[in-house]
Amino acid sequence: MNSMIQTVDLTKKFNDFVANDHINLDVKEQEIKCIVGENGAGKSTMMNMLYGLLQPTSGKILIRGKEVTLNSPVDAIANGIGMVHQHFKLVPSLTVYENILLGAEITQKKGGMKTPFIDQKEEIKRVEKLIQENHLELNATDKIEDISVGGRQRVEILKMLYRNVDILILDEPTAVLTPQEVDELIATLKNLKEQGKTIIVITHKLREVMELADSITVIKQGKVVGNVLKKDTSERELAQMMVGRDVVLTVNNERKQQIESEIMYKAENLTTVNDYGKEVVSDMSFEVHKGEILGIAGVEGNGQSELVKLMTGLMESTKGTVFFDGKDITNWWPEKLRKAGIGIIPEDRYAQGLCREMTVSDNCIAGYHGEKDVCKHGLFNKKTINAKRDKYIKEFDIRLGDVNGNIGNLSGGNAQKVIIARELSANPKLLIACQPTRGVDIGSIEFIHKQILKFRDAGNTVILISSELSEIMSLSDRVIVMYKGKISGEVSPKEVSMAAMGLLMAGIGKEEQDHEKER
Amino acid sequence: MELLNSILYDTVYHSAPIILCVIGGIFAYKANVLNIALEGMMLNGAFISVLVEYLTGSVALAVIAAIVTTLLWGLVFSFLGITCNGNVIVIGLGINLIVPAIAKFVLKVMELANISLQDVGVADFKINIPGIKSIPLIGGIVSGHPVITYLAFIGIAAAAILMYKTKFGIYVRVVGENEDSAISLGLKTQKYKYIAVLIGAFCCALAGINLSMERMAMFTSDMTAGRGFIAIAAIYCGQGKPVQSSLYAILFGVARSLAVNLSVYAGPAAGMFDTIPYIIMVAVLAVVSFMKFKDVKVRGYKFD
Repeated sequence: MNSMIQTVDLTKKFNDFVANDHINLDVKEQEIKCIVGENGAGKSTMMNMLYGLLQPTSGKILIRGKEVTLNSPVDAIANGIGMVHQHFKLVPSLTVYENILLGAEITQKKGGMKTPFIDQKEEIKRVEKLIQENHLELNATDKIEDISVGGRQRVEILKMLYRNVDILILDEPTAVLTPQEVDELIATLKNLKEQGKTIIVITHKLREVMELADSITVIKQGKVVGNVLKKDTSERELAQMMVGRDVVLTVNNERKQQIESEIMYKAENLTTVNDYGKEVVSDMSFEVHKGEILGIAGVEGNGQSELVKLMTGLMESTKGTVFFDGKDITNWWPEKLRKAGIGIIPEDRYAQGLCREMTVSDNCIAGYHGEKDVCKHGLFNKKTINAKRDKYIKEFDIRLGDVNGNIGNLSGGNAQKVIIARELSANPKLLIACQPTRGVDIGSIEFIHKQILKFRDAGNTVILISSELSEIMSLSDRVIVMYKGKISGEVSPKEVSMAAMGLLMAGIGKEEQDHEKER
Repeated sequence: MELLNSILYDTVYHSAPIILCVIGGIFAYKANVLNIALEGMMLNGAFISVLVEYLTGSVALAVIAAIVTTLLWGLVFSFLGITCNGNVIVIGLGINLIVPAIAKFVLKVMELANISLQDVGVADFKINIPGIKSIPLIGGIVSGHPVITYLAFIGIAAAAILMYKTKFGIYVRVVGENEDSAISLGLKTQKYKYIAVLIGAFCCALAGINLSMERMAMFTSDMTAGRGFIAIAAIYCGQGKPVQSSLYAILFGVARSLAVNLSVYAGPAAGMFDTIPYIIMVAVLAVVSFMKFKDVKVRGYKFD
């Protein structure tokens, strides 16, 4: 088969940081190429160069053997390259057809003369035809804000197909989809391949890679570390290449003592609505015992974010009560929660956990800045604050260039360690950890996992919310699964199969699963 | 009867400059570059038109000069705010401060308290529409306005068509709502922001000409009297929709007209009517905002 798109020694530097280091990629015509690698390995940088959003520092891009310069997405589209971004680039207040034709509007013609007015009827007709040809489920006149995430992704794909691209790049397409929507997407992509399109998918989900890919390129720290065909490889081998060592994340999670019967944290009928008045957390009731790690799993966007905001005082409930250590703490503000003995690792470390433009030491006391030892008569005691910082750096192995610099200069893993150091050093009784290892390097992941287990083993309680299923399964003592704002099931991580978890995450409860089996 | 007639005529008369500022401002508002320099740009149009007519005696030259100089202010605003990524509020404020200062300085140099035009009068600009003029009631209200007043009302429809029926309108809205999306399709987002601001400058120039030359045949310092800011409030109340925002502008015209006409009867107390538009505006903005955030459960919520 001929090469469709090739890169020769493609390199991209951001100041001193080399995001892509002499990448040589070769995608054949009409194949599905998966590019895998950990977060921060440089996959998205590379794709942004192929789509003209970034310009390479050095190296060449060849399409059908001919060198091209891609200065903008317009160049890329003109060369037949289309991209579906991880975060959709759609305009919510416009309709499906308006989004698909954005930038390529059809104008009315009167007597052979062009008018500046848009021909909406013709636009709708063309888009409906396109939807039918590709067997997709969409309504051309719906507004984007009213359709599902999976639907929005189909709009993004159609947007590119309308522009007659031959090469379709998808950046982490399954991150926001339910397992069923993932299956539909895989079918759609395979169908497109049959129609002659070349498809590049960026992902770090190996199971999907094995279902989808014809060939796979593995990237690690900006370099290509492996090129394999799907038929010659296994999930295990890919994981090994991605991480660079044999085993992926197995922390020793042996319990040293029994879970106590005392209930530490209890939510009853917890409910809240989003900005549009839609219920996103509905009647959630659960208990966490002292000395237990409760995992909350689920596909992203099923109410976990809102649940965490409710639990950490960033959002108000419309109904329900929360008890902690025997006290009613419903709708308390974060400051009061921290004082009561709840440590919080928020979902987005830069939005809710740290202040990028402030120093490391300032961030080390954030949330606890009213404590007597750091603040007397409204004035900070810099000496104790700096001593605290130095202690955290040592105890939590935080690696940083400049101790007096801003926290924004730290890598994701080290910034996350600052949060963990701060929250655990306040000696809380309960830790609410949300996505504690998102976008963090492998070494830090291991360290953070060990810290969470150590905290539990000291007799404390943890609520762990994560979209990384492996993290939930390896750390938790008990797991509840969320689907559409409700608990779809509760399982023991040691006994449940991955298949059963998958079904729970798709909202198919245990009873229904048993029922299926009987039939 | 005569009073009602005169109130309605004045409503049209006082609404026009605010409507022009509104339809000029909505495009920048939709493109997410809030143009708070409407006030300064309008004053520039008012000042330059009268000044040029006073010096040259040519109305056409006066109109062209006013439009060109106001567009230059629009370019200054766009260059600093869009190309240089400056803070549009600070830049807009700067324009709002410097334009009246320049006008006052020029008046001082010319040793005039205000500029009164001698060779043209207010009556010269009034257009009496034959046919309509003779219709009772309506004739007296619709006929007999200067040309830009008519343009203002036609402009509402033009702005609505431009905003919703053309490529340009869609692009401006996309640039304001999701700039990433526009960039990923290769739209030149800066170009649309520039055009949006320049449309605003053009309309403000017309509003200024209407205010000084057409309606009064004179220029006095600070004669725009906050109309640019009232227009911004109207844009916010109408959420940038051409027709709704213009209706709020007309509401101000009504209030202003009441204040002027009733002063004959109510004496100094008529000044109270001047407060009506501001009270309505504060109430409307507060209610609109309350309704928007009423059901938001996230604490410390901010729209970005």
